Amino acid sequence: MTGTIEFQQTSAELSVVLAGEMTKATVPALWAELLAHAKMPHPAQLSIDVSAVSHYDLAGLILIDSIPSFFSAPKPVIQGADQALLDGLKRVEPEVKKAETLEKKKIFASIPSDMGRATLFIVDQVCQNLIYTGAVCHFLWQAIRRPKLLRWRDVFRVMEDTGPNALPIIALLGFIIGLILSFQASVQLQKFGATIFVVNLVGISLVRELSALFTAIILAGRTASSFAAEIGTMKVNQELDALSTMGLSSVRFLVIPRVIAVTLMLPLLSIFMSFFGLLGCAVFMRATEVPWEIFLRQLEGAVTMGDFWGGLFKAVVFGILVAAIGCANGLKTGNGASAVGQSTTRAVVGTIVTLIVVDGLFAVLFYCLSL
Amino acid sequence: MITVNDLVVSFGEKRVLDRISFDVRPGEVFVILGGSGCGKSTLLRHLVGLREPQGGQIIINGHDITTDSLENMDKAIESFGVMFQSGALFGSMTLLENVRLPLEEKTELPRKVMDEMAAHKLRQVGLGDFLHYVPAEISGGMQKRAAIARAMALDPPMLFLDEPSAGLDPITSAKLDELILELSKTLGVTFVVVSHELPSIFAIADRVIMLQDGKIVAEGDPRDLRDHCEQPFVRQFFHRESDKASVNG
Repeated sequence: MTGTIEFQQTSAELSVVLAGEMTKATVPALWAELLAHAKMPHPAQLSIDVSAVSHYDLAGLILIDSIPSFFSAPKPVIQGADQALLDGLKRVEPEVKKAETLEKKKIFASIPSDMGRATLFIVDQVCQNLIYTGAVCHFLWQAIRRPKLLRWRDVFRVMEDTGPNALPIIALLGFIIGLILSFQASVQLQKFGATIFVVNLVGISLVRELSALFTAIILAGRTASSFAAEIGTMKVNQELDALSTMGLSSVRFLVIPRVIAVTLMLPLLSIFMSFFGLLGCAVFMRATEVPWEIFLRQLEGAVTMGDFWGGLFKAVVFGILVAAIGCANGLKTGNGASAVGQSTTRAVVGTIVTLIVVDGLFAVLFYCLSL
Repeated sequence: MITVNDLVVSFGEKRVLDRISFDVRPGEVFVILGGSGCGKSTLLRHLVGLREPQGGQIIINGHDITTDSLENMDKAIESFGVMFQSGALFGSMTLLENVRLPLEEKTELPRKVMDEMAAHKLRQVGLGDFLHYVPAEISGGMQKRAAIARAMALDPPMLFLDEPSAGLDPITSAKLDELILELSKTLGVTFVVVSHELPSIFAIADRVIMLQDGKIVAEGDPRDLRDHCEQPFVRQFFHRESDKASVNG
């Protein structure tokens, strides 16, 4: 059984005759027919004949209720309807339409208030970040003064995950980066017969600059995202609320162990990256028939202890930033599963941008201090 | 409408449901009872096809969902809606969008009709003023009602509700009971409800089964069971007695 719709028009009146089934299965086709006839001249009077309707559901009632809107017609006369159908029609009120109109109006009216809201949001974020930074500094200082208060088991767990577990990827990427840098540098330096200076270029850039930055970026993707997801999920599961109700600070309990662990591990990983990068450079130089002894002598002359300590200091600062920004985004997680995903994305992007900006500031600072 | 024969469910070595059999008749409010951890929610998850049992049959409207083809399984799935214990509404969507989702996926109705149907369902559960709210902006009780509205979106003849009254205040809980009774009486919807809230059980249940240690220990009208059942666990359950009270008594 299907549903049918017929249109009978006289000079002043349009009669819509419905028959058969008016259900979810038949309404799409009937709606299309109504749309096709919507261009008919608007009638002064509209009547809807439902006497031949055999079966209907909510979709059918909504279709009958919507017929006048297709022809901009006044309230229709319903013919052949039993009391149940009339009661059903009374229950179907087009409230959604009203709500949608309201939403549209709101969009146009809200540009100034949106700007105000955005400003307040930025101010709020800055304040929150300052409070968070203050709390991290405070609890870090407390942890240094009274190390017994620190949850060392958590620190070692995070250290293991951040350090030894990340070593294979650090070693592999370090070696490949060393090879690539050496190859690219040698192509240019060969033109001047200065291939041996590849060692200077790769050595200084790795030890002073790139190892700390690359290691921090790898940990931003690997560790900061994992901190944000872990703490974000805890927030969604109300575990952070549980900590608060126990009188525990989530910064002291969750953030500080992670900050200390990553701050200790990142410089070590950075040293490993330098080592494997230089190994890659050595392998390349050996392939261009530079003996190991010459390579080592050239490296010794090029890279100073100042470069090494400078790189290590940056790695310490990057460690604090990676852990603190990852945890901060976890703590800021909203409600629902999608909020955890958003926090993770924000943690990775925010950490990488901050690392590069801070690295630029270090470059200026080291230049001014003639280091 | 639903027939369960010799259903066996195990988690590793532990047998959670041990050869249980029962049936649910059309139009009735059927409640699955039992203490915490007795396998009520596990049974519900098997009834709606989320888990495969280790043995037995679950026949819904003539389709054995444990062995049927995917196509038949889809037909069986379309004949029921499910409300999960936490509501399980999609957090990124408004209530209207949540309820509209099954209509968008399963019908070809015009957008306006779908919107009005979804709004109607939400009005039916008393959430007409919250169409454009996201789940995080409403209370737990409202989320459960919205979840019922979503389960009803396609007008299924059967609804499965997992602990609908748990964690709700008595007034909201009573409203939910009224809603279940109204839908059962006016639309003839069959309800399979998992619960251990005694006031709700007496208010809505036509028939109950009680689970203990993976077996059905009682079946029938909850009022009859309360007043006449001699089984110690059933008496304890309906009279809210602790083990100690039962021993002393």
